[in-house]
Amino acid sequence: MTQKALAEAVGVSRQTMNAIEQGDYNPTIKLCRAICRVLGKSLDELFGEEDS
Amino acid sequence: MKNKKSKNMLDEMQDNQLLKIEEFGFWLVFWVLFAAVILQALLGTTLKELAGEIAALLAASVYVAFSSLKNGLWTRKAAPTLKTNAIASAGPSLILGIFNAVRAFVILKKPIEFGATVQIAAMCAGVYILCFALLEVFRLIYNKRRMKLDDIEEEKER
Repeated sequence: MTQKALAEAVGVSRQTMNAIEQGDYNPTIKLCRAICRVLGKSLDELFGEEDS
Repeated sequence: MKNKKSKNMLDEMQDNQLLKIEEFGFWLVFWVLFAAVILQALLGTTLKELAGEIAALLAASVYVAFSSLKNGLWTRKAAPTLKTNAIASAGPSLILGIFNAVRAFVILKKPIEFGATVQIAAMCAGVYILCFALLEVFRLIYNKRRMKLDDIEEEKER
């Protein structure tokens, strides 16, 4: 899925989606959940800490 | 006329950006207006002629102060204590002192006399006491409000 398509599906601008991916913007839980819903992933899978 | 809430066309990041821009814009207007009032007053504009600008400044100040207190908010930089209020009260007092000194001795070219200096110092002291008393009243209201707001949060947790 492209960044543009994901942004459109979630209902945010591509600039916002890019800022989230780059770590420049911390989304609210509400937006995180919307992204998870679109991608079919859990919050932990998408935003959880990575195992070192 | 329909009382329909208009849809927000911005997403949350854009909304935050716009809020920051609006916040900066508000403070820019506030301080430029404040400087304009001081400058005009120094140049001899009467209080009556400055009534509009002063009313706008007062309206903004009262709104910010009361909305902050209602939401249990103080400043970002300092905690509300007796010491910080004592220090903060010196600001307006100092501004008034400098304003009066410049107006009396530089613009009106009055001779620097003991009586005039004491008069300015007394005015500064009066403003200091007034500001300090007002800030202390605000601190009391803030503490009460903070306690009430935090109590509600605790009840929700149980």
